[in-house]
Amino acid sequence: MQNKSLDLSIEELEETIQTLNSTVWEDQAQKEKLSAWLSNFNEPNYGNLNEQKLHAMYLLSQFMYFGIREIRELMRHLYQESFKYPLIRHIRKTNGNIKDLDFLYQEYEEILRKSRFLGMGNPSESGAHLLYYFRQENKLDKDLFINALDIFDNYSTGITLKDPQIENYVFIDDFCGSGKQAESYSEKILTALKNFKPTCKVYYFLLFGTQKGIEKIKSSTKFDHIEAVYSLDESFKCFSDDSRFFIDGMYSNISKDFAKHIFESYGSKLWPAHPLGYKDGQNLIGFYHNTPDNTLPVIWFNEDISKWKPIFKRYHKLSQ
Amino acid sequence: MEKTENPFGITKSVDFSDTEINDYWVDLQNSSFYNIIKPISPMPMILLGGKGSGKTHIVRHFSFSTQLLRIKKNSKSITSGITEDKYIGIYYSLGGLNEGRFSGKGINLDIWEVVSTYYMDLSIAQKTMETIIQIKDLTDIFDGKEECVCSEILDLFNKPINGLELTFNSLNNYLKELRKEIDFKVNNCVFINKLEVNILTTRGSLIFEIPRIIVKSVKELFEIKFLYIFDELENASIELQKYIQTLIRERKDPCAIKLSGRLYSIKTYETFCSGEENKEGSEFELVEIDQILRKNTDYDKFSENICKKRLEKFDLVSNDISKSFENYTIDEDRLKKLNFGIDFIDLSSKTERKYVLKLKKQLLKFKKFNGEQISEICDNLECNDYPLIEKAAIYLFYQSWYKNRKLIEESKLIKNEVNTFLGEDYKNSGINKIFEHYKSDFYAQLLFEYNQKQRYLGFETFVKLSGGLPRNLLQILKHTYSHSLYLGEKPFNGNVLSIKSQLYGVKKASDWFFEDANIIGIDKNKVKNSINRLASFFREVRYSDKPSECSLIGFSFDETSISEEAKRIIRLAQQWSLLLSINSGRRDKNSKRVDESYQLNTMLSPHWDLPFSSRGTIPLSNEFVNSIFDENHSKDYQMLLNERILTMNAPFKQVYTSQQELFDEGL
Amino acid sequence: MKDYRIFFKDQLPLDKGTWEPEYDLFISSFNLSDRVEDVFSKVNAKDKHWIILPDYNISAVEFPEGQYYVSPLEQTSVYNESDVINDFYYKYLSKIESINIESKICIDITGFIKPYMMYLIALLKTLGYQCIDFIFSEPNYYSAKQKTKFSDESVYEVRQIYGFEGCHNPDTTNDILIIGSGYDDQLIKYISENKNMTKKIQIFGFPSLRADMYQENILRASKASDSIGRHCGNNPNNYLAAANDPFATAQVLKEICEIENNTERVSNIYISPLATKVQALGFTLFYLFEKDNYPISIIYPFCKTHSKRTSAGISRIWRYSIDFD
Repeated sequence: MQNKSLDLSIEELEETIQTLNSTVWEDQAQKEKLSAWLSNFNEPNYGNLNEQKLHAMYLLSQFMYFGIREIRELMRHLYQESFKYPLIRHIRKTNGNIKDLDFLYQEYEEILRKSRFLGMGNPSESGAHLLYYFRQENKLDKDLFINALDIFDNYSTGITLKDPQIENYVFIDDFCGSGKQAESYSEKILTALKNFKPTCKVYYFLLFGTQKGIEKIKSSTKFDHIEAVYSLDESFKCFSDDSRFFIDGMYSNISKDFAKHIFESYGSKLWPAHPLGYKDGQNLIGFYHNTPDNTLPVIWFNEDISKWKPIFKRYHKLSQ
Repeated sequence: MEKTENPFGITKSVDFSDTEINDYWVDLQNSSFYNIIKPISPMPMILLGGKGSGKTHIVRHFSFSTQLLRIKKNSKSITSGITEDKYIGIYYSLGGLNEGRFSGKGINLDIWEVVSTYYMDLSIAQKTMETIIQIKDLTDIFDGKEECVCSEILDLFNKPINGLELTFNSLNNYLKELRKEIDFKVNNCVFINKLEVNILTTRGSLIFEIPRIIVKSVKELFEIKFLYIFDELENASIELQKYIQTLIRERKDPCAIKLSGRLYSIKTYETFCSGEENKEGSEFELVEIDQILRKNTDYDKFSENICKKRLEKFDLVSNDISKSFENYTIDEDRLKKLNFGIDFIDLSSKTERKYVLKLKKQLLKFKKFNGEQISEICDNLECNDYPLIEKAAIYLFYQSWYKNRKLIEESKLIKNEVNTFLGEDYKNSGINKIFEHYKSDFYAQLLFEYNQKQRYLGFETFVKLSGGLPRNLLQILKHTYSHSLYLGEKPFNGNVLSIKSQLYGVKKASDWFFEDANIIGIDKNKVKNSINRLASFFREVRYSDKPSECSLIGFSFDETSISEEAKRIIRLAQQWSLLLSINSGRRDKNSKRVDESYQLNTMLSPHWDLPFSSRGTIPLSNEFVNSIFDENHSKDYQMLLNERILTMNAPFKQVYTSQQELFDEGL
Repeated sequence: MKDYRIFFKDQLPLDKGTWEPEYDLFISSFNLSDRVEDVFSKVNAKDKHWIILPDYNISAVEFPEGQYYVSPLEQTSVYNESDVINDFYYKYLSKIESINIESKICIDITGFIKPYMMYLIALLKTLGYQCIDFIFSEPNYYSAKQKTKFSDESVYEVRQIYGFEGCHNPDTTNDILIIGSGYDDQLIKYISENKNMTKKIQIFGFPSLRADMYQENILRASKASDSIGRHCGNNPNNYLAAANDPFATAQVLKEICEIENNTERVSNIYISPLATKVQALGFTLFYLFEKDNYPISIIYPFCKTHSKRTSAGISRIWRYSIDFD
């Protein structure tokens, strides 16, 4: 059955947003906040004001928000499906497909004891923050969690591995856009680590990564194993040719070009260097703990309330 | 999906625990559900109700688990509590039989009949035993009697059962094992197309004899009735219903039987007794709970109490619920009241009213009046301070036009009527008579003409909309409350439910009601399309220049002349409470017509901007009824609709059977 | 089964010519999408067979290459899953001499309609087949068709799937219905209404196959919120299980049953997989392993016709290895 092209109404969009608000959006878009955000779109030079509001609401209705519950679940999933159970299955395979759970768990514990989990970035950044949920959701011992500095030791006398027994280093991050940070880590930490212990395995686990970013990491870093729960291809770029948010002929009163025009126009006032998100990210994604800067600035810009009222605000890294 | 709990969030009693069934129980003031259900009456009862009529809440109220909680709360001994109640309620859900598995799989229908009825007997017996075990554990009435009761019950089995401990628990386990064995065989017979089940009791014996044995053996229970409540009748197949009808026919003391189900539940009245059919009034009593509620003068108070209970549970303000709804109802003088809710028209403005503009265009186009004549007419009909009076005046004018009267003269007469209405003697004014019927329609037309949403505001209106189904009221309130929270309001906490939230709640609930009729298969769309055609017709009438009926959502027709398919769809719509029967067919002695009258469920009104209470009904021709309800004739619908409303819109052409044109005489 | 997640699963390479290992028997249900034909050619098996289901109404000119069984039943006649699959097995498959219960079997579930797939698995298990591999290929999800329906929404019957009827209790005071909620809110409504007297618990596919699908799923399922009732949407009565993992699904089902039973003894459990086939596979597993431990059965809303061509393209191919021992 083909969808016929029809007009999308403001009422339908309001209904959608109300439902999202009371379910997965954790009340982030109450009516008052929504009205305040829509009032930002007040520049008649950019186009008919009602049209602007319609497009703003439309894109908002497509915004993907992952709340605390979902993030916790992703942490659980990441550990179980990317680390624990692949190892358990490997143990099975190398032991005649044994199904004895006690044996499997025991063998796995041995491996786990020689594994460490780390966050990406500065301890105050979200990667480290997520480790807390990662640990909690998976009921892991806190001794399994270290920060990057703890990999090495004897900084004064000469760098060595702090614990040469460790076989697996697992880095956890929430979002990877360009892959720059992972590259930097690879250069600074992994090179040395692999020198000291060539047999160790270094994992990079992500919740979300752009396809390009992931490919870059795979090709230009020393991470042995890279996995993203969600890989965002070009179709997740709001205004790309393949954009999944604008399907030809779906709604006769929604135009990708018009939406791009207004978001870019307002965006250029908010973040002139990156009006559609960092490095032209054009994303429509946010998490309970923050909104990545690859997402359209009109969604999150929070630097000056008199200038712009955000809907899913970002605690922006000022260095950027 | 609420993060903050909504006091109206639970709309289905199935979501209530037993404690909540009691806590949220509200009885009718002028009669009571006890008198309606008659738990100890030997006459079997079939209790039918539309979705949301409260039927499940009612029957669960009589089940033993909730009985027990009430008895305990009243600090009585269990024994005295039961003897006071005079019954023990055994609640059994027919949906739990999962009957679909007792068919096909390469097994004969006859075998399935025997197996399924035997299985039902075992299940009910198990339910009964579990209740008896509860009573045994809480009282001493079975002390010293357990063995002999068990022994007698075991005698009901065709083969001797050795080695079983004579305790209720063992007996119950035995029943469980028998049942499980059948489950296993029935499940697996599909793989091998073979089924062998040993039938160990006579049909019905476990159901009637276990209670008989118990009351005979235990003096405290001597006068007690075992009240079997078989719920979800709609989930029982024809074959199983034959068995249930047989149980009704063969009912024995001390058993009472109540069946409960949706309006469309009954598939047969046939029994296994040589195909005899049970008859209402003879073998059973039929009670339709929503009809009772709808016609009950106490329904408003009943509805209010339902809401109050919920608000109290959430520590919210519950006295005088009506005041918690933002609307325009304020007591003031008669004429000022007419302008409430007409905030969208600037009374002081010189801009011509939309309905006046329309009239002018019509006069120009159809009557070929000149500018002066049109102005004279409009001046006569004018009542600038009260748009509703103007509407009424124009309505009278349209009536005159329809009757081919001299229009300028008529407009002068109408002016007098308007003046009379504005004065002390208003009751004798023609405007007053029109208002008594059409006021709400005029208001609706004004809202429509000025692009405003139709207004269904206030608690009383919500109650009327619910159409006798309490769940409908709860649905409206649930959505209203939820939207109110979304808007940042704090209703029932010193604040009111805004008009905006009420409009939202009503629309959402109305849309839900329409979509919710879960009719299986292709009939779903047929019924929905029919209702859509019917409601669209009512809408055309309401918003026409001269509606022939006021507050119209009812219609009548001659049942003998419409197609079978139309009858079938109407019946389905009724069974799903989309249509309500106003009277059952009155046969005209001479013509042999059987006139049926139906009304759209008021809950659907907001979906089509229709009135929330019904006044008249409109007689419809067979052709028109067929075109509405029979897909085979639906292509004629538009044409017949146009014909029908011809006389309601300027120039009010009459349709003669000879197709003769009417000449203008109005100058 | 205490931990379903130890079962093997792997991703099959899209670019490789054929896959290892070699199976004795490979079964696939034919529809007109590329995915099934592609996989059919890549799987390495001594004996490969198509089954052509009557519901797809595939005409003779569209029949595939290779060996196939076509159901003699007409799409318009009255039949059920056991009629079709019993015929397939007893009149066709079992005649293949080289096949016995020791055989290595692989089934591509991509083209199957859920009740048939599930009944086939139950039949094979009952007959003693122990180890079966299942393949599922994900389509390229980005397309407008993502938002359309895959089946004719004329639900004509809601009942237990044959072979999954279990053993229930007459006491219904604490019945639960676990719904694997997909995009189709109508199906959720039908199921909820059919088991009106139950507490409803939903399982949503999360992580979803694509980042936007979870939220879309929640939005659509919320249209059925009035049928779900009180327990709609609030944690912890919504559970999450990875959309492409039958083992995680089975494990979540187990978790739910344990939690519910610990809170208050459950009288009956009904489960209904309304989302993906992979989820349905998880439900199937759970039932087959746990049917003696819980009063459980699988119910389903049966539809008349199904689209024979769904999305195009393959994004990933999964293989799940199940061992019933």
